[in-house]
Amino acid sequence: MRGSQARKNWLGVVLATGALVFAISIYSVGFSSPAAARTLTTDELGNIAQNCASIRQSLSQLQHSDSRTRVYLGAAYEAAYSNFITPLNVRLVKNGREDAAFVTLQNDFSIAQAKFRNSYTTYMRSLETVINTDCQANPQAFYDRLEATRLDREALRQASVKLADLLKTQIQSVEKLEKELK
Amino acid sequence: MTGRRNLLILGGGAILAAVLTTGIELWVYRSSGDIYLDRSRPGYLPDSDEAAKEEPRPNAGYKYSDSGALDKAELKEYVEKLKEIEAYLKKIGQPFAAGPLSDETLGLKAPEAKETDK
Repeated sequence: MRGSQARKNWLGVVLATGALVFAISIYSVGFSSPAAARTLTTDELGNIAQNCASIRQSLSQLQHSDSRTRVYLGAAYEAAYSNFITPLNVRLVKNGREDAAFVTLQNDFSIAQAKFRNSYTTYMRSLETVINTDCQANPQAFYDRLEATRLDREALRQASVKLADLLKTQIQSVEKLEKELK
Repeated sequence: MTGRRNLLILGGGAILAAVLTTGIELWVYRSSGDIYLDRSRPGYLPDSDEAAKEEPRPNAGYKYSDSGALDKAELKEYVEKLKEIEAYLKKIGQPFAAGPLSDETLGLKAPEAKETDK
């Protein structure tokens, strides 16, 4: 009987894991599939092919400046998390003043940081694919990939906006806490 | 003769192992996305004058202590320092905005299309 119950438990775990993996793959496919890019006119295709070298150079420069921006943002987020958000939560707990809102914010911030990092690598990978596409020979394919990269860049922008919002919430919450203290 | 053969096998094996492990390392480096986070790779090193141009990073030496009683003055300082980070982020502007990848910025629109848009 016990063996049968254990098998059922294991089956449940396996099924739950399978469902989770399936859900994650559907979720990720939903976000990674590029939107259908518009079909370019002959003039536009010709323009891309003609200016291919300068377009690719602009994209390479953008890649470098984005890399710099990521370092600045990443360092600031990490400083906020490690030097402010986490120590305050630890101190609140040590003083017996656990606050669910602060704990939730810490978790949300950590998740948002991970999302920012993942979105950045996805975007950079996508941008690299665009740069490596021969826009002289395949301007339409180049444009299709560029459209997909725009979506990845937007996801990255949203991730940075989310972190900025969380930081603002943290400031407001601490200001409120400060007022509550005598 | 056997000694020479063994030496060749040893050398060849060592080279093969080095190539294999380096290949695996590079594959992991690329597939994990670490390659995009690494600014020490060729072509991505900071410019020589970048440090001079860079905005000073806020609160390099500050860390809120995780021990001690909760103190109003300390929390006030906490808020001030955290606001410096917020201001620093605002100075960066709108990171990863759509502009730099737009058709107009990249010059993707044909001259006729640009005129029609006007």
